[in-house]
Amino acid sequence: MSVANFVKLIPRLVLATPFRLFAVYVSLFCVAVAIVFMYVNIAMQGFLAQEAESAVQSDFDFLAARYNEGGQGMLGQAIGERSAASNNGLYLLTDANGRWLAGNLEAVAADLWATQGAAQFAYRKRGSDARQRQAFGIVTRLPNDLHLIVARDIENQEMLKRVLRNAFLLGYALIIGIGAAGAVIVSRRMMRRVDEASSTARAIMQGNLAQRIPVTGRADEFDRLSENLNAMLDRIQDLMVGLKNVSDNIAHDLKTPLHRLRTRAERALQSSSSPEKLSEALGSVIEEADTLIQTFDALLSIARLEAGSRSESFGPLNVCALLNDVAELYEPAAEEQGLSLTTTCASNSIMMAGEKHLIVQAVANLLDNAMKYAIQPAPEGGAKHPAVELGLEDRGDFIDILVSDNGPGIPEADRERVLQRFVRLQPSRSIPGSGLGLSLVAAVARLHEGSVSLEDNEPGLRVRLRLKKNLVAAPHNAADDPLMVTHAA
Amino acid sequence: MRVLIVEDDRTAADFLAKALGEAGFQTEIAGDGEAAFDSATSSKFDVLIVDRMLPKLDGLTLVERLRERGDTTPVLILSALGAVDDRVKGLRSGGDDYLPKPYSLVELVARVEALTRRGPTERAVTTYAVGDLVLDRLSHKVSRGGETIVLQPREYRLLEYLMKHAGQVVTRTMLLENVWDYHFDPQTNVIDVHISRLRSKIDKGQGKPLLETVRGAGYMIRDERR
Repeated sequence: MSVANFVKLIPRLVLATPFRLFAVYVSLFCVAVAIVFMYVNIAMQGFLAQEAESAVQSDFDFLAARYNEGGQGMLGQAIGERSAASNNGLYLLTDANGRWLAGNLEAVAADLWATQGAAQFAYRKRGSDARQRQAFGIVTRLPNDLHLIVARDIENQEMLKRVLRNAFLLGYALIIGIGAAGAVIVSRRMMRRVDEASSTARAIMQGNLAQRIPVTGRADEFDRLSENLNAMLDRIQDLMVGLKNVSDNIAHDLKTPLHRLRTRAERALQSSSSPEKLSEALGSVIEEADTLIQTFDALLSIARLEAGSRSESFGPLNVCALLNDVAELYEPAAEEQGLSLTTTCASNSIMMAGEKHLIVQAVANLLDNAMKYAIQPAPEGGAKHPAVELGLEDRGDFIDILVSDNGPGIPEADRERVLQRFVRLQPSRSIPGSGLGLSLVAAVARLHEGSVSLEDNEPGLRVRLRLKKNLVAAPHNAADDPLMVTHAA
Repeated sequence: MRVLIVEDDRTAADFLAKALGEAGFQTEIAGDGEAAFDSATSSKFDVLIVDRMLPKLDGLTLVERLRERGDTTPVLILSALGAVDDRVKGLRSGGDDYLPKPYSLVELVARVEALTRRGPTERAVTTYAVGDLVLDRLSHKVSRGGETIVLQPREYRLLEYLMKHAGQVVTRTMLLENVWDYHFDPQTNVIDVHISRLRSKIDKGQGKPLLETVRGAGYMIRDERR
């Protein structure tokens, strides 16, 4: 990346969340370090100063004792001895005019003599050309106008302080520098990930639904987020494709009868034939309109079922009683068509929670279908007695409603497809129906957290409608209660 | 018999008024919920036909307000919403019947006629009689010309409903809703077969059939001599 580009990035970098976090952390860290520095500085200074002070004091006490003992002579001698022996002690004895009498110090600045007691000053050792160093000492005026300085070198202390200060300053520089660099690196990395996601989102908004957020494979939180967003996009894309297919199918399946209806009306109008012919034409127009309404209703129901969750109208149902009721409705019609319709329940006390009307409608749709196909001749010919069976199996958390016929069946390859909306297999185009019956059944199954599957009945088709029982509390009580057995007996 | 039609689609309302007029009803039209409330509270109607979606005051609220005032006029709710939930909501608000749009005029007229039969005294009727066909609601016994007819429970309920509405057209949907409590449209003509079974039991061997098929509409039980 060029410098210019980087400079352009700075405002965004500074606004990025990680950068701000780093700024806050670094500031807090600096404050903490400053406190530590101040503590170390004060503690060390106090310790060193105290050490120097006590050393000077004991020297001074010794010399004061010598002076009291033997006056100036004894003092001078003691200073001489000490100056020669010690590397640390600094001594100076001068007369009233500041002339050197004894000790290892050069004469010091005259204004120092104005002070009495503890003092810090610059000094140079006697006979040395080295630069001046710092010392701490006690300045005293002795009775006969003699001046005495007893001191210790503290130049090392000063240096230590400087080193310490520099170390801390360097530390600060490093903290801020590394912190800023880290912030920039992390911010840029995160910004890149976020930018990728944003640009994907923009591409999708512009209509390219196939775009996906890149996943790095580092399995970090960004990857998890990206994976979930991608899964969501997959689902949305599926829905969009489904919606498009559906609208294409709606266009086809609603437009075809609409077109027929219009043509019929137009033809009737043009021919202006007898009133009987006209009323016949009008009758068929109404029939077409009714078919359209049915298709439309079925579509709406499916759409509502697919959009909705379990509704408040879910109630306890005795499934076997429900099946018997529906079978009872269809039984005369079956008999009239020469069909046998039998109902077999594994148990007549199987309970589930569900939407009664929808389950009834699903079973009725399946029965309608089964009866339509059972009376079709078998593909290989031969005589048979058309039969439809309604069955109920208990599968623990689920119930299976089975609707079987001995009609021509559906080839295995086509079974998955017929569950989709509007799909009607070629040979069945001549049999009336919207192609929505099974889709509605599938939608009802989904609402009840179940599924629909098609099986071979050998011969014929067996539809397995699996519904979740969804019983919440005390199902045995519900089963024991005879009033719970479907309300319209 | 006076009917108040509450419908904001003027064309639909006019068609309705015409069809009901031909069936012998006097009709009045209200174009919005507030006007309907005023009409319904200022004069007496035998049936109200209320569209669910109305300007100013929606149909369900209108019915609720009328019921709060103690008005028990039978109400038929019309709605483009046909799902079971919507029906339940409509009936819970105080409607007596619910017909999803689009409806056939025959169906609507039949339902309005059925509603006019719903009166407070109706509950007390223990025997229905059409010609020489008699249904005893207490003993659940049916006889024609003094001869007992044995019916299955469902056949009994079917006949009871038809006889309750004797002289009126009863549609297949009305039968499915009131006798079976199902709200869907079976593709096979299941009801017709039930009717023909019933017919064979009550009309077979009798000189004059009582249970008629009304073409394009449904069924009617009546005694033509009257």
